[in-house]
Amino acid sequence: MEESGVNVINLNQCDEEFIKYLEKFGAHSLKECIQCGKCASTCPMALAGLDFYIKRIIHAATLGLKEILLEDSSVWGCQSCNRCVEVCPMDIKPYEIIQAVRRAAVRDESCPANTYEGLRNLYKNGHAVFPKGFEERRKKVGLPEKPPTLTSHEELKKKFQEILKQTSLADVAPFKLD
Amino acid sequence: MIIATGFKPMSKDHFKEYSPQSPDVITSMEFERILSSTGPTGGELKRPSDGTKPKNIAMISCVGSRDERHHSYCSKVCCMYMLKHARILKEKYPYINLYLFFIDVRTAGKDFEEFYVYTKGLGAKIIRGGRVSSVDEKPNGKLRVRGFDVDLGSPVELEADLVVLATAIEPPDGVDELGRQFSATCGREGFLREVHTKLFPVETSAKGVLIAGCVQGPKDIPESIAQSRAAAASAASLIIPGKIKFEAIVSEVDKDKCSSCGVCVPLCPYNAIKLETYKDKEKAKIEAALCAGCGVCASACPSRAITFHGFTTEQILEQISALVEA
Repeated sequence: MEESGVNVINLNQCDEEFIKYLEKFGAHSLKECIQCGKCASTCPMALAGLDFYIKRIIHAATLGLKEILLEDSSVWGCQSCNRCVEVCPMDIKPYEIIQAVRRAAVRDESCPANTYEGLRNLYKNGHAVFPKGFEERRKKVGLPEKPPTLTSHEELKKKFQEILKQTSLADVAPFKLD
Repeated sequence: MIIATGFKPMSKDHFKEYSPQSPDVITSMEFERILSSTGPTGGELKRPSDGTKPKNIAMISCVGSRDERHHSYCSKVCCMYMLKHARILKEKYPYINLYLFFIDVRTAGKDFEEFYVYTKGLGAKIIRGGRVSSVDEKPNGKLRVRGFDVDLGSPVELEADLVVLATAIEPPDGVDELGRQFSATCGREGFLREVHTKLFPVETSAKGVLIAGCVQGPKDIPESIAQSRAAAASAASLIIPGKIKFEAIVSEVDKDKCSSCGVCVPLCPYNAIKLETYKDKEKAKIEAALCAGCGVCASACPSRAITFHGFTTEQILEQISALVEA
């Protein structure tokens, strides 16, 4: 939220294209938010003390403050609990707005590094979460080295990768899909 | 008699913090004229200073309202007409960036909140909790607007081409003098006062003098129409029966005792007393239909010629002695 040392947000930086992008990719009724704050009063991330919680994210989005939204990593803190969607009196589906901002962030290559790692793992191994050295630990407790998922089935993994290549991951992934 | 003078919009000159000397800082009333097809620009949106099309417009609410330095009341209609202007603008010129600065958005009532949500949907940007602290002229001819956005939790700044001030609704000039002429009293804020907010909303302290519209206080068009019809009905109910009922508690002059001093005439707040010839002398006469039974004349009469029915001197003295004995 800082700008050149002075904590004033310049409203002229409004990016109408960004608003249109969000509306296209999930935030369909973004502009109808009346900032009642019901989502923020139930959001675990607001309760946890995150600066940029759901209500503020939506407001910044309606003002088209792209730089501020994408520079802050708060949208990645969302736990996808969907409480906001259940309580929202205007039915604007706040969680969908979070997702739309995430989509914009991925396209803009401005997400946290571990997001890319998750994507790479998903493509390479079929799991977003893929901790190193798990084979050893599995062996220790008497489990097969690899879990009975895509990771253990080369052929299915190939098919899965073929499917992923046809999604927009092919456009946004900062690594080669091979 | 129905008094319906309407209101006066406050001038921008009272607000030095908003650069009133700039031609590009205008009031909502002026903006309404600019938007109107019969207005000075023929309905074309232009900056008053150089005639160019504005790209960024800021509107500021509560200018002079909810402000102890000017008017403590809420002018009631500004939130809605700001949204109306926003709607007209966004429908006609969707590429304009429009920022509406509100303390809070007061769109109470049927269809009004829906209007607000619709206007938001058109892309008007609402900044709440942010009455603007200053509007400054920049060397490049633009205006710098400084506010606070409570939803972002941060001070905000905007370079605007045009600033529209939603100035307060004021009682028209001379309404206090007009009220005095008809013995109708003014409230603290200068509007004519109704006798009772709920039971007698169009009646004034003067009998037969009714009020309607913004002379009573800020209100919108549907309310003004409803109130004017109420005033017309109240007036008709006084006229149609052909007779007037009045209170038993009124004052009366004993003309034989009256010394013709005339002290009571200017004292009467309801203009109910005049002098008339009685046995070749000018004597006071109280018009019972106008008398409101306040008792000022009876207490002031040096000759004790005025009887205040229900509160005669004898009755009051009796009450006092009963109290003293108890």
